[in-house]
Amino acid sequence: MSKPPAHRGRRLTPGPGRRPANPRARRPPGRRLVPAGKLTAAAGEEAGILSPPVPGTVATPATEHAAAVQIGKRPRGVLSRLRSTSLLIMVATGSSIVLGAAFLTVAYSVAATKPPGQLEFTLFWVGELLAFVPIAIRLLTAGASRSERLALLTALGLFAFVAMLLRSPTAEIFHDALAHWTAAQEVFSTGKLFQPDTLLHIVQYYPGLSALTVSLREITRLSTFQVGTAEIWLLHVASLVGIFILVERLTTSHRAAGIAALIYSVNPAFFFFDSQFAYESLAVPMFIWAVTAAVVLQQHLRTSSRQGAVYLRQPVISWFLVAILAAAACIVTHHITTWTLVGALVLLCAAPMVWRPRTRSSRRTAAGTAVLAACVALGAAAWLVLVAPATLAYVAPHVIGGIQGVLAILTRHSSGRQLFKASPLPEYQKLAAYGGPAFLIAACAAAVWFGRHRIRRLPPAATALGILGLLYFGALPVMLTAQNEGARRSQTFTFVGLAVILAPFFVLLLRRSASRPGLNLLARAAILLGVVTLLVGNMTIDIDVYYQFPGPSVYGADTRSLSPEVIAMADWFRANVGRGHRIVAPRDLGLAMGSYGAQTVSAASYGFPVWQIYFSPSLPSAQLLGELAASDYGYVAVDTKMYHNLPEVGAYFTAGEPGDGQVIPPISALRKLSGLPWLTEIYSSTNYRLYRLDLKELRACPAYRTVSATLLPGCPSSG
Amino acid sequence: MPRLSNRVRNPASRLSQLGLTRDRALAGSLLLAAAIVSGAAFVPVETVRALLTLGPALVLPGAALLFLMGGLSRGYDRYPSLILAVILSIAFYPLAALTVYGLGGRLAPRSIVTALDIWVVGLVVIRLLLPARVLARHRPLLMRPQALAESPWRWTTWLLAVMLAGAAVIGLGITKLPQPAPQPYLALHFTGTWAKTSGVRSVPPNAAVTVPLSINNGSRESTKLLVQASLDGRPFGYSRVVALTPHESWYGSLAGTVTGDGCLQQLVVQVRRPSSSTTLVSLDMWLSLQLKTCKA
Repeated sequence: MSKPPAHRGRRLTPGPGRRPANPRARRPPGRRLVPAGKLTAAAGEEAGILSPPVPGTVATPATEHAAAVQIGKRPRGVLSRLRSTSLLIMVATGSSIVLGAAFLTVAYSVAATKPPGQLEFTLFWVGELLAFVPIAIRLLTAGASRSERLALLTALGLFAFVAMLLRSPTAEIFHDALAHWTAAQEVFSTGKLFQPDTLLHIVQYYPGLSALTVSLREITRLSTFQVGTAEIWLLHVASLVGIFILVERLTTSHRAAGIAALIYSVNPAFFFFDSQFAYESLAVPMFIWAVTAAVVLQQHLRTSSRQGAVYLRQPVISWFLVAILAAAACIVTHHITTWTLVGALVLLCAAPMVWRPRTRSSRRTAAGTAVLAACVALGAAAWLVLVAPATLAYVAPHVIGGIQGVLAILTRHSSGRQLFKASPLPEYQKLAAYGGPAFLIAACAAAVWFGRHRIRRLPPAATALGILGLLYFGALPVMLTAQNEGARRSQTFTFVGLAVILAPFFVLLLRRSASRPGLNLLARAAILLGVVTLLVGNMTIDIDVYYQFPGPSVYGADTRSLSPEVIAMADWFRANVGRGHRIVAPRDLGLAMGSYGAQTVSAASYGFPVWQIYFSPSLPSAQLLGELAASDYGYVAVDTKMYHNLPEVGAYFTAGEPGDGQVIPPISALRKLSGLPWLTEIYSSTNYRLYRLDLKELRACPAYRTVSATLLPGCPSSG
Repeated sequence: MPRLSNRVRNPASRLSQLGLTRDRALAGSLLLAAAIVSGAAFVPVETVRALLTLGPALVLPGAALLFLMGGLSRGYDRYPSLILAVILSIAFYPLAALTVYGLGGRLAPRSIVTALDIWVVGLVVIRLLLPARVLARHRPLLMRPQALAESPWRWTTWLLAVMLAGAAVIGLGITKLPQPAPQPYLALHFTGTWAKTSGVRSVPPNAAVTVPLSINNGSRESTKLLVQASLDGRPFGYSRVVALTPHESWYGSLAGTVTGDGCLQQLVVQVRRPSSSTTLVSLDMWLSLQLKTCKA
């Protein structure tokens, strides 16, 4: 592959006698032009993709301002032509997005009212692609203006939330969302942060989302669900705009920036996991903007370092403050995102020294970033040690489990998990789930191959974020293990790096093929196909059918288990018995009782094996009964469906429980509950029962026994 | 004086006619917005309050910080700056709430609005107190790139149209398209003090006991149910037949006399269809008879 001409990408405005990239954008007579090399590349498609951003041509505010003040009034003819063409395109794109929303609405209605089949999947993907594909096509096009790209990304960010909204239009139903909703409700009702959260205990140490939601609730008096929906919707848009600004700063091309945001939007979590009301949904946009601020800070440090007193200059201080504020919000909101941010900042700090000549400029850049990284790392460490020491115990099993899983596969002690085992998903979705990573491997390999000679001329921040992106491939093997939660979550961050690697490469590819229309069309089609494959495949990886669609009640499937029946029981309990009682319940039922019922639900573990009450026909151990009494547990909730079904999520209570969620408990374990004098059944519905626990009566002996004497330690015949 | 375009020049000239500088006009707008949010937060009409407060509350703290940092200086990139203001605002609230918590305060409308006002007014005042030579050097954080083919932001109408049309389609879909029929259920529970029982209930021998009950028909069909009770397997009081329409709840009671010589007896309430022997739902209550022969 021949090297591109040295001037490529440095000229930002058409020079004399040269045809501009956009034929509609010819220089009008009498129009003053900025000399080539002076105007920023962020201005247009003439930008230098994968070219060295030499001082003076980098998109810094100083050069942008210089450019801005030299440009006079726009010609009416060009604008009106642009407007008429783009208006037509945008009307078509807008109509397609609205039609996509209509298809999604029908898909959800079909899923909710018809027997499970393939129709809902077809309608869902037609809807998604009706919106996604036109946006992607426009973002890949050279002719789209910067503001059009931003508008399209805003529409994409808004549209990406539609599926989630249709899935739960009136209330939170996802497991994590319910846990966070409960936490926010608790903070709202008490007015105090750090309230205990039994559904997801780690949430109490990261009150960022609750604090934000409750603050907005206090001002607006909207409900937690309404405020949460508005927040997450805005954060979705902010993520994409953040990626746009980040990549625009790195590549000085708004086309690459738009494509980067498009690539980021197909990360596995964007459409569902990061659309739910959960702490990561808030922390990830903060991560993106903190990284963006750090990158812009580096540019200011580098380009203005010769002008003296660089650290006291307004843009440096301002972007430092932006980065610190975003990072601080991240620290108080989510653990993994915070640590990843620290890692990304360390990479950004090291990059100018490792991949650049050790000049005074690069040393200053590295030092400035190091101060930022140190501040964030100190903040994160202080929060971990002083406020959230329980985090390590919470996160470690996910990380260690993943590593152990990979080692087990490598040493052939395990063959890994069987992907899509008995899955009702359509074949094309399964195929896309394999095709997505394959596309990324091929595209990244090609991008690295093309960029191998330019690595020292790339902005150091691009190299640093590229390394972050390549970690995606390190996490892929962990996806094959049962403990793949950490690997799945990491993709939210590695896709930022993948966007930085791939977007400039795609623009380079499209520009080089621009002179050959057939080849250009092929390149566009290939990129579009790859991105669509990633969209379909990543969504398949991230979400199961029970989370994706409504439908008949399914035992142990979190979202599908939340029936009006269980909500009625939780509501009855809260209204008639009160809030905040300690209650023993299996996972699904605990979710409803903890959230809708506002109760404190037991967290099962081998130290507190409450499953003994449910799994065994015999009495629970004395240790458990002692702990129940000591901890003042007053109620036991039972889902009778557990005696006929295996849980869809793979655990009745928690991962690693006896039987690993693969053994249906004996019905005798349920029957025993009706004959024990220390349990009084106060609520009973078709599928649920609620018992009052009175352990003072443990040794009571009923006159008329309906259970085995071994279950009644107080009766004479049982010794 | 260099000009960006007529769009920028005209407001500036209008401001100068009013004797205002750009900074002072922006400061005034921010303070006015803060005053609106503070006032509207205590408006009793919920819709008005939400409409007046949500948007400004999501932009104001960040916009004030951008104003201080020069982010709203001439030539700023409007849309990305708006998003940056939203991000900074969203970052502001958790930190403000933590500060309120750290000061021993309670998260309430008054404390949050006070924190917001202090933040906005403080930043605006600091900005206005900055020396003119410092302000003259301020450049926007996100500057609008200029190019021949680039046009100013003009997609608000398009975005609003797409959003409104999308919202209309989704709203129509949710309200008009068939929705799932909830799975039917039947619920039986104690009411009153029996619901709040702490466990075994003490009763004198041969006492008349009234069991307060409720049945909820969570189905779309009318149903007729037989409610009966037994005490240690013996019939307790009279059974009753209850007719329930869809989603109707019945509140009532069963009454009977506690007999027998057992110290701890189990009262079981069962609900079944009159024509069937299968119990649909049941409750139980342990009754401790205060007999002389029974241990305390």
